[in-house]
Amino acid sequence: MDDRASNSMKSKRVTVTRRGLLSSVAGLSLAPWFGVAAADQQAMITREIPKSGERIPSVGMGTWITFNVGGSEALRRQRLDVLRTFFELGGGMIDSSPMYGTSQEVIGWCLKRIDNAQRLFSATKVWTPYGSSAESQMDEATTLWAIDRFDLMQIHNLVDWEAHLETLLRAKEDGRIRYIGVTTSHGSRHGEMARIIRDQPVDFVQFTYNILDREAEARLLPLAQERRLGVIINRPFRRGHLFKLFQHKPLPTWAAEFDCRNWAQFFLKFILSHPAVTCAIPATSQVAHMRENMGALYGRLPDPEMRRRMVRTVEEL
Amino acid sequence: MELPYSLDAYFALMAAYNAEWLTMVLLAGLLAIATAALALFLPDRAANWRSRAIAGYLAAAWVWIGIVHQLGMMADLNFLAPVYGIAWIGQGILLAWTGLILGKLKFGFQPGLSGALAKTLIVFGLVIYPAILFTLDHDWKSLPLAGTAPSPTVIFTAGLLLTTRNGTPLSLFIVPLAWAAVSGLSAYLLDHAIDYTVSVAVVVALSLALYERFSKRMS
Repeated sequence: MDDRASNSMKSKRVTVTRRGLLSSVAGLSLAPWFGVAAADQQAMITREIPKSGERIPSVGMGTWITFNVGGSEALRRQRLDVLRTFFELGGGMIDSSPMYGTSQEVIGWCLKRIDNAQRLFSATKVWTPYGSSAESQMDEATTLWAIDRFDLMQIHNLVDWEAHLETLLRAKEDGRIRYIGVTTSHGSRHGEMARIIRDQPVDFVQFTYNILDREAEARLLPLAQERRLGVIINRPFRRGHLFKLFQHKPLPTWAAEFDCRNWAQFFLKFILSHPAVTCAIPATSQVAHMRENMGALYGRLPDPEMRRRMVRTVEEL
Repeated sequence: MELPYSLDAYFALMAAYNAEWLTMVLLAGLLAIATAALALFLPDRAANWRSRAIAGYLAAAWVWIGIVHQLGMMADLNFLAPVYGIAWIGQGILLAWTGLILGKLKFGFQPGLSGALAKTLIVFGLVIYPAILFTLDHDWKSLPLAGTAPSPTVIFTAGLLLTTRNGTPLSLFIVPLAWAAVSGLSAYLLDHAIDYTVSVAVVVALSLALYERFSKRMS
């Protein structure tokens, strides 16, 4: 990793806006809830969206499977608790898609019942494998979330991206969305993604990156950073597989050097410590897991040497 | 690969589905028992109307599941449900055409391996499948039942098809075989082992049907 990386990997301070001040105060006062010792309490880790300079919290929330609970009142109320915790602990970006069943509807149901969602950074996708209209999907999503407009509209898994990019550019011009992005996952289609990063006027890219799946370090991450794109990371825990591999192993004691108290924070802080990453979006349906995840928003991040040590450790384990 | 929903979400929806369609669930269950009795216990001289009644019940069940369970309920959770729904409706239409209209299916218990297997699958689909789920701590209100839910209906159908005296048209196994693959994959992805029984039931029933067809040709 080059010198730019080491210089960039210090904790970021929140810009002094009313929103940022509230976030910092909330973060400082709530930090002990998820195991950040008093001595380690620092401002919430936020990252700048390169195209605009806007800062967002660097841990968001995905909704694949976890928020697809249909009409069950009981399950929706559980998700409401998860979402409340998310916002209370400093969360901002929520990512969803029409592919995720009832997730968008459930998000909207929850948002109507939450008072402190001012930090919401709404992100969804257009996904048209059966040829439906991107415009109608965007309108439907806006209705389901019960918001006026989306912060970020993405093209899901690059499906029909050439056609959708034009639609999204028009929507951005009209002020109906603020940013445009493209997504892929499972380490697939990196070549096509790299071409889009180089050649297309997108603001964000989303792909898979975690401590075991590091292919993006070779090309996509440096390319996105060079092109000044926001980077959203999906599958930060490899859909829970990382926990299955490591949950019965003790957390290394040196993880405390970067204010890490559990494996979720270990995996997330590895991701966040890459300078190209804007936001990681772990998904969960459990309040306790949300608390663990949001702990990664606070404290120190590993430096390059520590990152290498983290990789060696998990590979040896 | 993952399914877009969790097991919790599926069973929550099943509980709501069973509650909303309670009358139909109970009626379909009673008719399934009657259908099983027709196939296994009535004498030969009643064969014609019995076989059409059985085929009619199966056709109605498959169409119901296609429209209400897959297109109506599962389409909210799973973007592939509309495709499955169309397949289920297609199978229902095929059963109606083959068994009810043309009268080509002659159901009736026969002693021997196919009879024993048929009885096993029919009882498994009707009773044992939901009973196992109940013992696995699923709420009784969310139990999938033959006649209105896919997995037990497929097992039940496989058993009934094994009782056909003149050989089952293999076309009637196409959609059940596809569903066996879907079930097996779901069982793996959701870590829900009981749904492997659907795959086993269809594969075994199809294998036996092919064996009997082959044996008749050779003799």
